[in-house]
Amino acid sequence: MQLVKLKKQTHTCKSCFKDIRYNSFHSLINSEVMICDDCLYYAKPIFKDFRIDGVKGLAIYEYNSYIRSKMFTYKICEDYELKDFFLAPYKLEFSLLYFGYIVVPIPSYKLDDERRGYNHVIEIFKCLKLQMITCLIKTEDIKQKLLNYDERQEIGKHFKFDSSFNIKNQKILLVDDVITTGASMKAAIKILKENGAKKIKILSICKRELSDEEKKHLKNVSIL
Amino acid sequence: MTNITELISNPKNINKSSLLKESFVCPVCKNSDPKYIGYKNGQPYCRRCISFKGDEVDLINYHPPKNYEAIISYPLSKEQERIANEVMVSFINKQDSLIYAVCGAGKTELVFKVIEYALEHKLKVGFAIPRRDVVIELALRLEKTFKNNIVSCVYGGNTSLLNGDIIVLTTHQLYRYPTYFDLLIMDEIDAFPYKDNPLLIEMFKRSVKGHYILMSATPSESVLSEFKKPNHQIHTLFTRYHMHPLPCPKIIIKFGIDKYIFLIQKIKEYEKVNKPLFIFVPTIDESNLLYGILKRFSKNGNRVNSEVNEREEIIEDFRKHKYSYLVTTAVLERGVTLKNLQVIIFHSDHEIYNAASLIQISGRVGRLYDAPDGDVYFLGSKTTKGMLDAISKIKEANSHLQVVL
Repeated sequence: MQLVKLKKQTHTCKSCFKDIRYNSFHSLINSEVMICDDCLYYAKPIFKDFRIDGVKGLAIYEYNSYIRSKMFTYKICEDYELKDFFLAPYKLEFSLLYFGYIVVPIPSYKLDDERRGYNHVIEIFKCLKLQMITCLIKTEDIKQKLLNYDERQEIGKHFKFDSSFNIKNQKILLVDDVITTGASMKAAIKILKENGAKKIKILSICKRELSDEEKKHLKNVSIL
Repeated sequence: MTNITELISNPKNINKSSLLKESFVCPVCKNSDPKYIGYKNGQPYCRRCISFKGDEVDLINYHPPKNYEAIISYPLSKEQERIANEVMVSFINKQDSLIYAVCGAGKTELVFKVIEYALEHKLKVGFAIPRRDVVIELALRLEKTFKNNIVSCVYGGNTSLLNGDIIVLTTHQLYRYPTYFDLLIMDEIDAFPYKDNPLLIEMFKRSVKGHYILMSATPSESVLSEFKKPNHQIHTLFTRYHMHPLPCPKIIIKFGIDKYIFLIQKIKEYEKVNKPLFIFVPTIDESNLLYGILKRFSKNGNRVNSEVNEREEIIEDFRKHKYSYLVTTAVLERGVTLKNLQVIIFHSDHEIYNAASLIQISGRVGRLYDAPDGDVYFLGSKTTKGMLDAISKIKEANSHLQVVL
């Protein structure tokens, strides 16, 4: 009977649709995530440290073409099941690392969220099972994709703090999917500090490194 | 044992979600495989065709074609004319057809007559091919033939003009045309990525409103068996348009360093008589390795594989006789016509080569009126079934030619 059961329980990877073979300890303890080892390998996680305005940050992936295509399928093609691809394989480590922090997602373009039916950033970071508050609000709907480097630096004036939340003496984990120029991060850090956050850290899925040439042509190159 | 029988007899043990999964069928690609079905806010959706999203063609801006004249710059052979008429008749009789013709038979010219007929009757015509390079080349050719019509070319990255009298497109763009084409012609049906891809095959069926014409030099058994049904017609053309037989490949068995010596000898030989040479290799690594060795002996060459970005320029230079040989992977397997081309298939006993792909590669040789012959060598360390099959099929096609003559 057990043999029959074991044979029936073949899981397919949510990213490449092949059967998962559990051949490492890491994949075994994260078996409910349903992402195979090959897909994790191709994504090339690097866990890069960086600093924005003196605040420590961590990016999981480099912004390579593989991650970019997966992000495209998740965000633009609205493939909801792919939400576990980016962060969930490392959720045990991260929920330990950021124990006691409150997750604050960067506000995003509202019309896209409505059309999609979910907020893509919140869905990714739900798997950490930390407390999450959406205390940052965008007062105006602006697509950063359409702005150039200098225009992006002024994104902060459209951010507002929702005063019904109290974050005094709290530890805050700022999260986002892709950091391109860091402008919205800078604005969010400024607002959170003004409202009395004790400690801030950043966690992002991937971070782009822009050369000067790319900064100039940022508007013409579509981000996703 | 009792537990198993219980499980089968008692349907309550199957949980509800699996039942929901089984009942959902994707409206776009007709997929019902539970592994491709995801859930968003409790609603099932298909994940297999999710990346096929974009502007679909709008019927409001559609203008029926005004002209329908085909200008063919050179005359068709008698055989070609016969098949072209047959294809047209079976289209008028509302039949789907398969054109099974050898490489270099002039398949594309066979359908000009049908296209002309369809345009005359204000029907929507599409021409789908799996490969992008071939789409661009064919669009130029159709523009020359149908000078008074709008030929729109649709492929990934060039999707601004979806409407047109004749639409030439890659198979990946077919999702933009649901139940649109009255006549859809499909070339190279056995090429990657269309071959054995259930999603693209479903998209193809979805976009046909009227009837379709498939063309191939090496159709698979499943396609041939499908065309045995009623309302399906197979047209065979086993002669090339210049009425010369297909060059028959020669098997050369060599081991180790002998293979390379043979290659270098052949390169030198063809260099003297100024004939271009293709050396096909099975993998990308192999192409880099072999070119690294060969360039020490003859600097007058280059290599092409899917990772080389300046592929088009290299091929263009090769056409201008800048290089005397080219080491290539299967990227140049289709759609290349060069005068006096010679072909050597290196490691022809490799597992990626089957009879179909060997026939395709052999078909690169002798495609022109003034150079109807050439050499094809299978260079390997053993004879495989694929190699023997390929040779016997080519010989069979050549024996048809004898009957005609």
